[in-house]
Amino acid sequence: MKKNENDDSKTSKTKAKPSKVKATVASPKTKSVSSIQATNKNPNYVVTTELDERTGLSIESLKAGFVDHLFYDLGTYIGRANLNDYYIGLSLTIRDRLLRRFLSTQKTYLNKDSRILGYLSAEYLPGTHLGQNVINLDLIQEMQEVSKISNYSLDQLIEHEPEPGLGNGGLGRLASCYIESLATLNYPAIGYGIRYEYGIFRQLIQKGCQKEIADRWLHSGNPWEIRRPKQSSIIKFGGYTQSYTDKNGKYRVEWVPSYQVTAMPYDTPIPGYKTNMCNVLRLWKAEAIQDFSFEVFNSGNYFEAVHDKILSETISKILYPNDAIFEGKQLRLAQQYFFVSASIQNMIDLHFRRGDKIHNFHKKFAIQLNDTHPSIAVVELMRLLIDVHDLSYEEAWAITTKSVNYTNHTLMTEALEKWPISLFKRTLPRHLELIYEINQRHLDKVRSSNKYDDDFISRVSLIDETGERYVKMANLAVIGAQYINGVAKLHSQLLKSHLFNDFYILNPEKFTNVTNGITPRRWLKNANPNLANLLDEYINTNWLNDLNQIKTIEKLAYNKDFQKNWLKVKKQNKLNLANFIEASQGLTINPDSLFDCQVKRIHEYKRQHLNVLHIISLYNKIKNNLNINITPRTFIFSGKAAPAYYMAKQIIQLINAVANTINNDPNVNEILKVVFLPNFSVKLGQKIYPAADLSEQISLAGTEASGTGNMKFSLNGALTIGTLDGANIEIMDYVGKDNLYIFGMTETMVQESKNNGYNPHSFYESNPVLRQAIDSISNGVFSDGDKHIFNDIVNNLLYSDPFMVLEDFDSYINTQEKISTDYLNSQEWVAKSIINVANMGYFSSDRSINEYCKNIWQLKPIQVDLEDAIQARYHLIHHD
Amino acid sequence: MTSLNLIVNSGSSSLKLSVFELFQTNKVKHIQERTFKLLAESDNHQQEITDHLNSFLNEINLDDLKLISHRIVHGGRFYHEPIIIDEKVNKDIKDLAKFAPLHNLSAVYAIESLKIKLPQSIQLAFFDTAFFANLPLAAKLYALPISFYNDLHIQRYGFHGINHEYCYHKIKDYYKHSPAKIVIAHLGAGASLSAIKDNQCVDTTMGFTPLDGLTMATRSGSLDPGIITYLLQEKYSLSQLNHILNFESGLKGLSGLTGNFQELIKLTHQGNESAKLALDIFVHNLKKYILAMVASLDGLDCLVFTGGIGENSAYLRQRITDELTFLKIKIKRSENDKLKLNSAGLKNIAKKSSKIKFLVINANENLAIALKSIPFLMNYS
Repeated sequence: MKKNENDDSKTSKTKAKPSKVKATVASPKTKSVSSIQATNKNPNYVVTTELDERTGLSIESLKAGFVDHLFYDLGTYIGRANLNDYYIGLSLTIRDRLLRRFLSTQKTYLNKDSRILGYLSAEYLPGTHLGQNVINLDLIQEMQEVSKISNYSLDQLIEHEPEPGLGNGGLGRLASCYIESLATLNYPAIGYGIRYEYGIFRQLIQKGCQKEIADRWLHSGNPWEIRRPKQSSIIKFGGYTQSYTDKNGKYRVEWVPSYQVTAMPYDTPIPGYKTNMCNVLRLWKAEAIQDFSFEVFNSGNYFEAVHDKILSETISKILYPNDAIFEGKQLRLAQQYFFVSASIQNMIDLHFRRGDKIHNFHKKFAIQLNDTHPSIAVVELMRLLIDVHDLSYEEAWAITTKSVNYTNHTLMTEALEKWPISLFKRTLPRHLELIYEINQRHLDKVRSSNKYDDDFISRVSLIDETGERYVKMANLAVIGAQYINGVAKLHSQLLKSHLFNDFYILNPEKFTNVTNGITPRRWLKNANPNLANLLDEYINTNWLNDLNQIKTIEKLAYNKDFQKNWLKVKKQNKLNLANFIEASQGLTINPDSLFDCQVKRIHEYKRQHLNVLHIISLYNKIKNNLNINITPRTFIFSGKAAPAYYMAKQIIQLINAVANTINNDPNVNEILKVVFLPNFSVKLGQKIYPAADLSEQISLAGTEASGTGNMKFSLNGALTIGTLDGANIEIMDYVGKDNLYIFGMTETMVQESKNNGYNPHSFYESNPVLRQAIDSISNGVFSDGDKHIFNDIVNNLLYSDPFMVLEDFDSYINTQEKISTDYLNSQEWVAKSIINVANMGYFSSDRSINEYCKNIWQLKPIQVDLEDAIQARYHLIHHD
Repeated sequence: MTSLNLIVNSGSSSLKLSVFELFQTNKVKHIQERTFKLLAESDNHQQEITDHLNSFLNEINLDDLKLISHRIVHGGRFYHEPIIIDEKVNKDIKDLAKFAPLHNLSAVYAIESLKIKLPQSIQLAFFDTAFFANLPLAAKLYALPISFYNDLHIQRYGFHGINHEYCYHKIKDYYKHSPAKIVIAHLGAGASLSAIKDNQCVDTTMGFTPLDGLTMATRSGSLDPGIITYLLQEKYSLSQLNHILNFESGLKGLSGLTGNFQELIKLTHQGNESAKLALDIFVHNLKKYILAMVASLDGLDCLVFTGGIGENSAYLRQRITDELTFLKIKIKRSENDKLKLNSAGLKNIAKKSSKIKFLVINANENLAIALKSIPFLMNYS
């Protein structure tokens, strides 16, 4: 049986400490009854319990910790402190409790021989930490009580936390879900990434258009992270290589860099849900090796002295705000190499600290590449093994290809990184040499079978030689990885049949699938406490640790009482969102209307404009016949567009223009409302998903790798309107095709239509509803008569339409009409909603992680025993 | 959710800071206000402004401060609307300081110091020139070589636009059918007129800089440009001239006593001749320019006085209507003498029989800015 936190002193107020410890450790923080009584002269101050304000879980201990942090860390006190002080004070109080788990976990890593996962991801979207940590530590009621002394509610303090926007979208959020699931399932893992000083830009809406400003998320302090200077590493850049013969007469290569940067780790503890395991998100910050040269400074040239410092620190300055387009910037390559090198050096270091030999590295570490960004890991591991740890090429390659695995997240070739040789050589000269070597051996092997022609060989080469020469990073990841997986069944299939077909022919055994998942601790318990509480009433087991248990509510789908409660929860969530929209946007929406939501990055392939065309068709319907009966809907959009992505920004402008016209048209605004909520984030998602009735997952079939928003909506009881794309297909398989709304072409039909010469204009000509919708855009109905503003969108749809909006329009509209009718039959709709939630077990990230651990990483859960708090500190005092 | 709006009105010699609470229902509530004098001699305006901001911000709850709105005197040729200040906008405002050095730089100092202190707040720019962006070309251009307009951007920009526009909206709110031809006289330490016809501003007295047009407290108003070239030739330096035209001319320079209008009236009543002369010149030029505006409008339905002098000087309002007899503006003497504005800060003092309305409107630039800031609240979600 696991030794769990609940065993020690959560409810019991007194707990005897081992006297031995008390005698040997003079802990200034632990006041014994006698010491407090001895020093405190105030007779009213009666202490009946031994307060451990750093690790204790009683309300008294937590309160004492909170007050102490305000006083000693923030230099303030109750009554004087401001909201930010209270937020930080309370967070530090929680962090204290995490650290005990965190250090016990780290110690277990060192002591146990189990394989550890190093998860490499250039992006994370952890969401706010305070609320989630309180949930995972099972301290909700206690912290609600504790926060009262600040005059702010726990919710207000949670709301105040600035969100670390260290990612663009689904990929970053997936990484964060996975780190949480790994901890919950007791798998040893380290999440490695970059501590961007400026995360994803803050999206503002000005006159309907997106405007980007810098997001300074660290400005008011980040109470969660711990800087670890002792575990920093040096990262080299540029320069040249020189060969030499070592004292054993062996040929070696030395890389002489032109400059070096320190990678400074910042650790954020990520606790599992109701378990002792607490994993770490280790984010690297680039720092100059020396702050500045005093010599230069003293000679009077201050600028030159700090110049290197500035240059070095640029590396972790900013996140690239593109999620589906690759930009070949040198800084981006530097970022990728920077965090990959720091992380692998860190893993090898940990490996040695466990007393192990380099030859066993692959047995003790699994390295996961979250998409193509960290692919340089393949070469970096090779370099470290050969140049630094003196292994032969063959052994190094064997270790590398048994350690590294690669998850691909996109089918779009424009998203795959490829670096011009010249730029690559300038930045990483030694790596380029190794890539040539790897490529030579790889191509020799392919050629040796005599089965493949020159075209094939040039396609599987690591070097693109069709024009300017490039290094193809995805190819590098594929040949360096033991396993390659897509993120949904269809996506993995398409990887094999299209994007990586050549490699699949070479090594079919490498390819597998792990469908994405989401953590129910954030996306249900945290986002939707009302629903979680209802489920608690009906499910006795710990369903948050095993989401499959949720299946038990399926039999209640038509139960009157359950339906009533279900509806009550949804209604309350909708009211909450309506109040939020009213307060933030000044827009009143009808909480009884159908909440039709599309929240995700703005991209043509995700087809927000298809949604807009439907809204316009409803608008036209009402304008054509004012007495028509239409199911009232509120359309809710949210999402950012890459700053340089013109069409996506046009789509935002169109949404806002349509919103403006509809919301101000008295003939229409009683029935329809359109809202664009600026600056989509995890935080904002947590408000929207629980309130949604309908989830828009309408990408062109074959374009969305998986999607995870679709799962978040379904888990919160929204029904899906979607194409047969990404994980929609599997959601359909699980919830049943009668419980969601599928429309449009399949992937095969898409290919067929393209092959037959897709002609969007013919759909415009033949479909009067579509024609009227498009015409009303081009006639300026939504732009005060300006007929040109949306020319580019209109022309794109009519004459190019790369994502086949017009072909799918008819099917989409018909399906939406059916939804409008079905929504009015509340009993059936609620039953479908229940069935959706009941079948979401498969989409828990716990299931995904278990699959990765079993099929790819060969990871085993480990048990973390919590050391006694005092003992834990003893170790800190004497061993750190 | 409480949403506070800090308004930063940085002038050449003062920094006026107000805080309003904003409501999505298009209402605002005045919370606090302070005016700081800026030392003319100070060589570190940046530090001075930062210090004043810090001392003011200590008094308010920064957690609720969502928007910071700046009055920017010069928006140049391209800024016609309120805008979120990002790096580019900030740089443009700085560049435009070449047109309005006394004003724009103070604003930039405030923007930059607030960006460091409150990086989470959104900063907005409201341009004093924006209201005049669409003046007809005939009113906009000076009779200089056309390349001066095309290449050097020398044109009539107009100023005090925030208050002119605010007054115009007040009039529209007050009358169901807004009067078609309006002249608004903003008369404070700085003074300007605007002419509005059928919802469009068609002329104004201030020009390329806020020196143009009416006689002001310490500014000269329009001059024969030949005077400037002559003075330059006579060895007055640029900075001397700049100082004289901005701070030593107008009522102050004429009277040799003070630029304060009410003081001058008092002195005139005591028989001071130079005070009287200054006032006469002020009134003469005001009449002349009102009629110039009437010419641009081709008529007049409504005359508006606003600003410190416009609101407080019954003497001036009476004298103007008396001396422009042919316009036949008839005002109620008692209402003019004991002026009481309604709750919206407005009063029509014209008699019912008067064809031309005569409104007095309380100038409130900061309130005007707060009201126009509300739509930007949507970015807090």
